[in-house]
This record gives sequence, C-alpha cells and structure tokens, in this order.
Amino acid sequence: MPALTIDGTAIECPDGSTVIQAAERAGIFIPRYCYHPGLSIAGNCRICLVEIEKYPKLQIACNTPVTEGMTVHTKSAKAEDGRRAVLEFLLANHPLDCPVCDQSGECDLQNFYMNFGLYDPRFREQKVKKKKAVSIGPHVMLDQERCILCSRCVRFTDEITKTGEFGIFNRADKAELGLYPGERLDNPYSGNVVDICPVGALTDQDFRFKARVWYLSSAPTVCNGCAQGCNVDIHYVLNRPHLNDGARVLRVKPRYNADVNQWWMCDEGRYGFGWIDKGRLTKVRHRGVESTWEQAMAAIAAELTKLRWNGSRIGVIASSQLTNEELFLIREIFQGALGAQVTAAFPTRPGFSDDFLIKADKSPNTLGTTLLALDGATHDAATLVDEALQGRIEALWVFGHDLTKLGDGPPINNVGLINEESLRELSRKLGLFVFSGTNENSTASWSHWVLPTAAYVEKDGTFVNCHGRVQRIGRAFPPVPDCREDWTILLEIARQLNHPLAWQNPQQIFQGLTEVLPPLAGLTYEKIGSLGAPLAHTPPAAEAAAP
Amino acid sequence: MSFHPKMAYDATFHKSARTLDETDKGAGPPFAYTAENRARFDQIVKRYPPDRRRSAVLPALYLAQYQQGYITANAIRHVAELLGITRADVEDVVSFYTMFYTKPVGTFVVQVCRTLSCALNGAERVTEELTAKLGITPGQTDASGTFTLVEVECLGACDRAPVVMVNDGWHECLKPEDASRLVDDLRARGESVLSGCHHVVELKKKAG
Repeated sequence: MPALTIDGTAIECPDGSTVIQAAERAGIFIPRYCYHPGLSIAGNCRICLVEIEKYPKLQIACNTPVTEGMTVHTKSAKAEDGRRAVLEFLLANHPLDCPVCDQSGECDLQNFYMNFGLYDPRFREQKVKKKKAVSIGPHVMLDQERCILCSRCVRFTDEITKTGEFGIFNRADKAELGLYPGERLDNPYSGNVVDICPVGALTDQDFRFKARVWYLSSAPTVCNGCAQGCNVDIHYVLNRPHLNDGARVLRVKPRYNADVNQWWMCDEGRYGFGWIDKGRLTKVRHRGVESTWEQAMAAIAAELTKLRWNGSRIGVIASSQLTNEELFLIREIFQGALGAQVTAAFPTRPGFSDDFLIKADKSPNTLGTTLLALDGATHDAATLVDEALQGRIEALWVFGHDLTKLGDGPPINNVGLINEESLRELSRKLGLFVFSGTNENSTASWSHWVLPTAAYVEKDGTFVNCHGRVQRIGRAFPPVPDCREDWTILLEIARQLNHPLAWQNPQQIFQGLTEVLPPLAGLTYEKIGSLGAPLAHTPPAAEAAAP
Repeated sequence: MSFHPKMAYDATFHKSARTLDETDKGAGPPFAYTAENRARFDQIVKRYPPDRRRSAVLPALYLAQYQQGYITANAIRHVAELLGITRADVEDVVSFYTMFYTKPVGTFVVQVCRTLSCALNGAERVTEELTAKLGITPGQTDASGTFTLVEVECLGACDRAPVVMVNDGWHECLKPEDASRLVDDLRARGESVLSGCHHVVELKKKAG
C-alpha cells in the first residue's frame, strides 16, 4: 500500500495503482481521453499530464505507477501549461462542428477546453479534411474529422467484444479511424463505442439529431431485455412534445455496476425501448368500446366474486415481466384469497445469448417468479388456456402476454400458444377475459376487458436477475395518462373483493414480501439502493443458470 | 478581421485518403506465399511466442512485398489469415509505415532522405536532379516501370549526407551533380553500383 501525496492530500492506494486511480481515490479529477477503466492503457492522448516531484518532465497519470512517498501536483502551473498545450494539439485538426454535433453538451473536448484550456487559438492553417457521416454499421455513425485517435473504440472491439473491426490507418495528421474496407461494425455490443467515444466521432444513428443532450433528463433503472438485468439510465424528455412525435424515451445508456454489467450493455437492450412510446394501450376498453376504470374494476370484481367459492375456475397468466411486488399481490389475491390457478410460466423460445452479458432468457424477473413459486411447477400458461378452451376455466386474466405469440420474438410458424382462431373461441367461451398490458396486440383485441398498464420505466418495483441479485427499477416518469401501474390495479381489485391489503405503495408491498419470503429477508429499498443487493441465499435454479 | 491566411484549397489539398483500394477489382491478383516464402514465414513466426504471433506482422509483410513488389488487399488478407489477426490490424501497419507500397513500384525505388543533415547538404538539389533526369516527380514511377522516386525521412546515415536508399541498399555522399550518373549506372549494372553503408564496407575491409 504505497502512500503518496496528490495536491497536498495524503492518500494510500493498493500496489500497482496508477496515479490517475490514486487521484480518483483522493477525489481529484484528472482529465482523460484515452484512459478508460474498463480497457487497457494506451497512454496516447497525453491530456492527463501531471507534475511529479523529482521527475524532470511531466508524466501521464494514467500509466505512471504510484510509488512510496511520491508527490504529485495536478494543478501546478507546469502541469496546467502542459495540458493546455496538449489540448491545443488535439484541437488543431478538430472541426468546429459543435452546433451540429450530437456530442455537443456531453463532449470532453468542450468540457476540458472550458476547464483546462481557455487559450486563444493559434492554428491558422487549413484543417485536414476527412470523411464525415459515414454509417459504419446498423447503429453507429463515424465522423473521422472529429476523432482525436484516443483508440478507446479500437481497444473495445479488440478486448471486450474481440471482434477487432476498428483500426487506425495512415499516419501523422492523415491518421484516421476506420474499418477495413467492406467491413461493418455489426456486433451485439456495437453501441458501447458511442458511450466511450469522448468526442463526437462515433455517434448513435438512432439518437442522431433527435434532441440536444441538455434537454434530456436521466433516471436510473434496470434493463428489462433479459435475465441479466443490466443497470441503465433512461434518458427522456417530457416537456418537448414537438420532438420525435412526442416520444419520451430517447435513449438508454449503461450505468456502471461492477457486479452486473460494468460499463457496458448490449444493443438489443439499448435500442429496444421503442415500445414504451409506440403502440401503447391508452384507454380502458370493454369489448372494443371505451370504458372507465371505475366500471372496469367494479365489473371485474363482480365476476370474480361470483366464482369466489369455485376458485379453480379462475385462471391467471402472470408474467416474468412483472415486478416481485406485483407478482406477490397476484399470488396474495388470486391464489390466496380466491384460490385461483396462477402461473407466470409462459412458453418461450430461448433467444440469442453469449458468455458476456446477453442471456437466452429474455425476461427480467424469471427468478422472481421462481421465488414466489409461480414458475409453473404445477401448471403453466398452456394448461390454463387448454382448460379454458375445454370450459373448465370461466375467468382468465392475462398480464402482458400475447397468447398468439411465444414469449420472445416473432411467433414460430405464426403460432404462439394458440392461433388467432382459438383465441376467438377462447374469448367466446370465457365468462370473463381480462387483458392488462402496455401495448396493443391480438390478445388485447379479443379480450373482454383491456386494462392499460404502466411500462416498467413508469413504475416502481424490483426484479431479481439471473445471478440472484435484487435490483430496483425505480420510476423514471409517470405513466401515460389513464394508464395505471399493475400494483394499483391489483390493490383496487383486492379492495373491491373485500380483501383489502394494508400496503399503499411498492415499498410497503416489498416489506410485506420480505416477511414471507426468506431469501429476501432483511432487504429494504434503502439496502437495495441503485446498485441492487444479492439475495440472502440464492435458490438452486439461479446457480444452475449462472455461468 | 480574419487572420486566416488565404491558402490554395482544392480536392487534393490536405485531404485524407486511404491508399488501399477497397474494390474487388483493386484487390490485386490472388496472393499466397510461394512454397519458399512460406517456409521463411514459418521460420519467422517461430521467433515469437505462440500468443504473440501478431508480432511477426512486419517481417511477414516484407516477405509479401518481396514476392509481389507491393502490398494488395489480397496480400493483407493472406497475412492476416496466417497470423490469426484481423485485416484491419494488418492494414493499420501497412498504412502507417512508408516502406510498404500499396501501388506497383519500379525495379529501383530511389528514396532520397530529406531530413536535416541531408537537406543542409543539398538533398533538395539531388531530388531536383533526379526529377529532371527521370522526368518524374517524387511519388511517381517512370513510364518504363524502372524507377520510382520518393522522398523519405532520416535514413540514419547523417554523417555521410546526402544519402539515398535504392531498394534495400544505401548510397552515401551523393552529390547533386552525381545523381544523374547514378541513374545511368543503375540502369547499366543494377544495385551493385551502390556504395553501401560505409560501416559495413569498412568492417568487411578489416576482416580482409
């Protein structure tokens, strides 16, 4: 544990640390372009120059190991002059694109110029022209002029995805970032190069020109794209409906979590947010006619009350897309109070997976359904639908799932659980057929009641990922008007069924859950925090699923 | 008032361009090492640990250039496949080093050093003489495909400036007035007319 002094602050850090890491421990920020904690050290941008006593020249903080008794100055005149000169070189050939550049506002060239530069430009020569707006793959746009050749993206594709698409070609001021002719940046993690690009050289084609970044609000949540549960930030705009047809979510960025996804996330999760703003169910419907929540709740409760002493004639197809809190309420109300047949097991086709982040199970809370014993040990969605078609189930409530599709992706041979025709028959046979969900689909159009619910970013709750980590999804913004969170619907139904539950919000429901479920014992929303917390003990299923 | 100087600016000025032809047509003739070169390559690769195979990229590219005269996209593919690295990795190296040619060059590649010592001793005039004699400017190859003229940076023989390098051999102390004769001699007798590196020459003399 060498002890050193940085800007007068004494700090101890582990052996093998570098000066930039030590400074971070001391709370001192040293600017960096090429340095990224998740990648190998390149040491080529030189912006992290610091003055170290007994060294004749300035040293780069990112690649200088700390030694006992080292004295580092990051704010001395010599260090600041050095950094300013480096910045002047880096900006020599950088175009003045800021007004039309997507990176503007979150650009480290802008930030560091304001913090460490502020020189009068002396470069009067013609800047080198390179290629602009080159689409290098399905998601990423390259602007070679803006690139400062930090090589973060090159190292990302070499070290993290091991696909090696990028290279830096030519030399000196003609050096340019690019791909080998004819190649494309088309790997499952390509969007990450946009995040790590410190300048506007690599930008997001999906987000391109959608909004200036200073209009964006950010909220921490968890990706619902697969069982990994990568920690993400949702970037959204609420008060500018003239942008992008009123879409609120404009992009998703990974959020650092050392135990789940580090700095990265996959493209599937990153670009899969369109459904939050498109094709949403916005009105309560009864057999295709607009209705109200009051009517719907009363009518559904009345139907369920009729079957109260004949609970096995009620079927509930819950979903591993629901939060633990909602699954718990479903179990309490339907299985507990009504004695209904409840399952969250829905046949799925395993999706794409790899040994990095992407899991084949595309549900964010499969383990939550296992913990709550709703994972279909006795019956799954297929048996419930079958029983309903044979008339043994009279009331069916489907949460989110489209019965004509399999759990993931497009239906195989156009048939999921049942085909459109059987769905129509199901609708005819059932006394009560409720669909609650976020988006329009076939099941919604054939159900008797359609209840529009909040998307996961519009509600609070917890998921359990495939490694047995409880993570809170938070609530980024309120639901679309007239949509309700599933837990409020369930609490209302419970009240109308004369089975009132004492809980008022997801936090209280979670407390109730921790009291009955030993693996969750002792957890609170405070303890889960923004980074999640592991289960008290991991159920065997999780150990088998984890690599 | 603008301080920006008025500068000539046209399509070619200060413009970055990759030299590698990206089309199938430009990828050159099919390339594979000859049996002899393949044996040499296998020897070269043995110098490096198995997990550092990529370190052999420079000698491997030189081999390809000896065999074909210049590096094509097909040669890049061949080297990349043999070394187990991506084509981008290989192009990275090819485009960085000026010693690799991506277009056909003449039998004799005359490289005039233009760095300080040589420049002070008249390297510019050497280039002028060669340009006049061959009728080509630096970077060009003459019509017969015999000579390619290029200007390069320091060749590491500053004590014998001005120095030119023809293919792999040095020719030291080349006075501008002798430049024209060097061309004639090369035409007549090939690379044997080069004076070579004096260190090597003297060492050979000492050894007798």
